[in-house]
Amino acid sequence: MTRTTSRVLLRSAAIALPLVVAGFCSLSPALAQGKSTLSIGQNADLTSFDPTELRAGTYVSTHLLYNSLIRLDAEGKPQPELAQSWTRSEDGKTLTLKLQPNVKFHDGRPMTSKDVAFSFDYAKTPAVGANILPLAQMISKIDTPDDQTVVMTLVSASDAIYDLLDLAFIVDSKHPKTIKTSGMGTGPFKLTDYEPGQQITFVRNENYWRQKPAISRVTIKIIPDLQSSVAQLRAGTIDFLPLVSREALEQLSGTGLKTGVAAAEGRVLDIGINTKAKVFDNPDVRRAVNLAIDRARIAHDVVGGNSVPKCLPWPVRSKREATGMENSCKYDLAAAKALIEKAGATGAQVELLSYSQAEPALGAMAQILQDSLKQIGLTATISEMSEAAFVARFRKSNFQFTTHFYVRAGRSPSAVLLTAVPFRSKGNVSGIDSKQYQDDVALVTSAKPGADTDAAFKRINTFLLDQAWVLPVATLPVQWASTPKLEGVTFNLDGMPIFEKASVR
Amino acid sequence: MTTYLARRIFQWIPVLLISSIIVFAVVRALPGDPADVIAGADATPEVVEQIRLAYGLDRSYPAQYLAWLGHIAVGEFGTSYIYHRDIGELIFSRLPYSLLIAVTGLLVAIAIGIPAGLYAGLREGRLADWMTSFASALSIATPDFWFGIIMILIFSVSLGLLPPGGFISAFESPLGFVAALVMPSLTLALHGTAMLTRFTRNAVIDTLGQDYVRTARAKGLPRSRIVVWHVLRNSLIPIITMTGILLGRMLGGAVVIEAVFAWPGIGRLLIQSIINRDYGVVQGVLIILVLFFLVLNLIVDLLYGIVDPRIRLARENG
Repeated sequence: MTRTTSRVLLRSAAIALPLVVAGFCSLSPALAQGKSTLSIGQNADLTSFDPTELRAGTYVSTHLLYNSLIRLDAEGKPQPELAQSWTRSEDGKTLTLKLQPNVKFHDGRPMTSKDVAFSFDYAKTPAVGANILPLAQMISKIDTPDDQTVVMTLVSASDAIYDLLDLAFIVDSKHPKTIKTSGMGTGPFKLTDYEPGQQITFVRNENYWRQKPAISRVTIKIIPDLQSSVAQLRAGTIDFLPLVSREALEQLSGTGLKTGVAAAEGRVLDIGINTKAKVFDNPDVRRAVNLAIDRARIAHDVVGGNSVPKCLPWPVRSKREATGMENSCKYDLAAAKALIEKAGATGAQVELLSYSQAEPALGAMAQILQDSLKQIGLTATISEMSEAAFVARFRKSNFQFTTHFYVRAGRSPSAVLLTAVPFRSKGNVSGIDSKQYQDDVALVTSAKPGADTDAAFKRINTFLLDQAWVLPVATLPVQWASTPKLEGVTFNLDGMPIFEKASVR
Repeated sequence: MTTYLARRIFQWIPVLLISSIIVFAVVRALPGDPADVIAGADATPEVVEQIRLAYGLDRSYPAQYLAWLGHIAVGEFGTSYIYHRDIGELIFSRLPYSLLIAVTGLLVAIAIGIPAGLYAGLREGRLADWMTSFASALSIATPDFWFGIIMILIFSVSLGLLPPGGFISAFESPLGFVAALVMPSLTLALHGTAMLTRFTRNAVIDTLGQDYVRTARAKGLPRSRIVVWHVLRNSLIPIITMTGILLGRMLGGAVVIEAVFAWPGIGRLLIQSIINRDYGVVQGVLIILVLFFLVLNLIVDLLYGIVDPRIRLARENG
């Protein structure tokens, strides 16, 4: 290479380098997009737009695309949504709803009572695999006397029906085969682009039946790695993270980003015990495990400052159903050890299942429990497994005891009893089979609150604590983080974000 | 050459058949099935059974295998249980992203690894050799997810120079396309570069001891000619083998990098589908990867012939 050539190359580089650097520097703000757009980072892949699949992947998209008939407020009181009003018969078994007029699907077709009836029938079809199936079975018949009226005949008078109406989203009855892929709803945003595993784009529904959202475009970016999603939020390429861990919240403190709790009781960590399994078939051993759970430590050290210890499954606001027994769980290793000795189980080997892949707090909770159990004379081996492997074993009652968490834990006690599998009164995976418990659960999930349901709840609480097959441990709040510019995001009782009234400053 | 190629491709049929059986069996050996995942932990056994029935999972394994094989034979991969979309579309929409990152990562590894290995090999036992070996060992020992996160924190969060993740289309922004490719490619190339450096160094040291190199030196040929034509060229056979293996690894094994940089590649699709027990997608991706390795092996074999005429002659005579 001659000296002249070298000089020319150096000069070119001197000109080109600042241009390239300037180009790269200008790239990040460009990626942050305009102010009327919102970019959301989501760890779970969005594989389906079916609103009956209430999973981590559909946590954000469901309220973008769909509306439900009512919405429960923070106190669990029903507020109008697609149903502008409703009346309930004296016996509570007939619910008549008047629909909002002028509601249209994204393709412009008017929504009618036929779509409402179809949506509930769809959710009730077992092969659909809807999470709300047990709640949907509360409806025995739906009549549609006219396009704006829906009459539901219910099997019970329970208020859990409002949880169903809050969770059942209305889908397009004209295209049943594309429910999982089209995202056709009446919601404030329309699906425009779907790149599996990468990003999903929604634009504002210009014909929305009430005030149009301020945000014109929403993008959900799938970022499987939590650390990476936090880095993207800090770098400004995403505006909102719907679910962040305690560690991420700690990382984000002091960065100027907003964080908050979407649902303080959205999820609850629990320990499930198989009453038919070796060692645990003795109730004293199960009671000993209950005494050996350091709930305060797990709430504080594993979940973080927003978690509270739990002893009974009911939300904090459900004082009536707790019947004064919500603080009955004690951490007492000496008493636990005495029970183990009484049961003759000292030195017993037990297997504790964990599936941290679904929720990292499960693994940490398992380790704390393992240590406590060692101190009372039980040797627990932790079997870590994938969620699918766990579900396969759990459903077949092929376990001794397990870490677990249940969702929709902030809903009414009736809804918790109907939907959370550990509390099931019939076909219980933990082997609980009590006629009294079945009767009591049937009563509280079907009757209006009164003296008889109060007595039944007292018996249920006593039975839960005495038989100790499911041990609620601590709340697992749904926590979010966002750019300080994002305002007006609201959440449902389970922590699902709603962007209808959100804006980016 | 045509006969050779035809013979090689014909040999793929039993390999693909055996692979398909292994893939099918291994996927079903995993505990749990798609119905468990679709239904979730809260569903009753009756609901799970209904789902199993709806998706044809109640059929015997041989029946399921033959049905799948029949579809594959005509180029149909079926519909994903979880994505509810055509599996072929899913796989082939992800494959270009994986190929892009794998090829870019490999080019980075070649561009750094081969010159570095050559440099170290020519200076065996000297400081440069020690330093190169140290850098290689350090690179291999460095976890790629950690390296990726550190890169994001430095170049995206602190300096704001590069996008922290995701793919940017070249049609949207050519500069963005390149910028989005920089960190994933460098991270993916981290281990590959170190391996290529060590392979090249060892191959060069072996070749330097050969008689024909000594003869070339004795003939008084210029050092550059000896290095390029006699040393490097004769060291290329193991390097080509290594490069082929690396490309295969980078295509299917970039899961961690794809997760850290939110890169929509096939590795992530595979892992996610294994987690979800999405049998059809797992089987489809693995069969495509097997096919890719077969093609790669063929290309590597053909390259041997280009680099070493003796292999070409033997093939033509055989």
